[in-house]
Amino acid sequence: MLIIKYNLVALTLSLTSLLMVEGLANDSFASGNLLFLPMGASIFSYLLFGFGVLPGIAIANTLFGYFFWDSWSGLGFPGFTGHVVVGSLAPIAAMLMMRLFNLSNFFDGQKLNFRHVVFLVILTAFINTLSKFFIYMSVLPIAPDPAIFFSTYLIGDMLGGLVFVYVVSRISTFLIKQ
Amino acid sequence: MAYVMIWFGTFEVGVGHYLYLPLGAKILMYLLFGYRVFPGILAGCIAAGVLLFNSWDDQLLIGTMAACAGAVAPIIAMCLMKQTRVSNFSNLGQVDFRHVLFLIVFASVISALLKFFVYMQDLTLSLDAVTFISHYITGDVLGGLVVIYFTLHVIVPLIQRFLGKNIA
Repeated sequence: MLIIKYNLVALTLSLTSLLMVEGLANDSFASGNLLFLPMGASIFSYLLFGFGVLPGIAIANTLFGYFFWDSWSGLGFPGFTGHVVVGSLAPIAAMLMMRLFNLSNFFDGQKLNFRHVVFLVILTAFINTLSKFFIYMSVLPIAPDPAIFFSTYLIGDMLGGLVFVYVVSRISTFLIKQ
Repeated sequence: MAYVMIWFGTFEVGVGHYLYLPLGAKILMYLLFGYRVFPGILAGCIAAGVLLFNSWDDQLLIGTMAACAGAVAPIIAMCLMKQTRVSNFSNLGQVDFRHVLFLIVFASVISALLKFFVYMQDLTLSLDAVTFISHYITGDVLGGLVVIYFTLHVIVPLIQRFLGKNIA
């Protein structure tokens, strides 16, 4: 039952963050959103609840991409692969990589090590951007400018991830203290 | 290292090299001597480009800028890892070998992206972005791993053996 609750929280967080950036998003996937908060929502959920919330995040991304982005701007399955599969799995890949290379466990006892989370966000942004680049370059009807693609996706993922994790962790700390 | 690399195949700007050994050498030098060896590394990269890679296929200015990017990439990776305190390379004796492996991968990605941005400035080069980035990352990672492995398993034992004899 607990895992269902966690999944529902992760789904809500992801959907809320996607709705928050909806007005800022582009019509196509040729350039990214400069404040992609959903990246932070996924990272925060995985850090808080573990990898078990993957279904919640994937469902949120699927629902949003299909209904709000009109089936990923008509891209269909490649759009699904880029947004849902890569978007949901990139933070997991980054976290596993950091654990595999003995870089961090993200927690010092009970406290979250924010510096390590900053590195996690950066690494996730790199994995996410590169993976999406290899997928979208071959399927987009008009090939995007790689320089614009990389700069917008990388900056958007990093800023969105950092802003979301920082703000939500501050708010939750404040609420717990209250 | 660039000279050894061209034994295994020619370097082309558009696709790089499948065993780009210089990145491993750069990382090794930064680990051993710190960032102060940057001018030496940069000079080595430029000299290798001019003498061995035919001035990067006659693209001297862009090639020099790419050499700068290649020399700076490991510094960026090491600084990021140090500032976020996931690893500290200042005390080489205490460095986890897995951190060095990660550094090679991370520096390769940064190097490939920086070089891509540099080479894109030259309109005469028609680059395929996917081929460029995938080949550069693969070449850098493989080359880096080979250099580090060779250093640890061949050069260090040889030095230890030599020093051991001298001590005896």
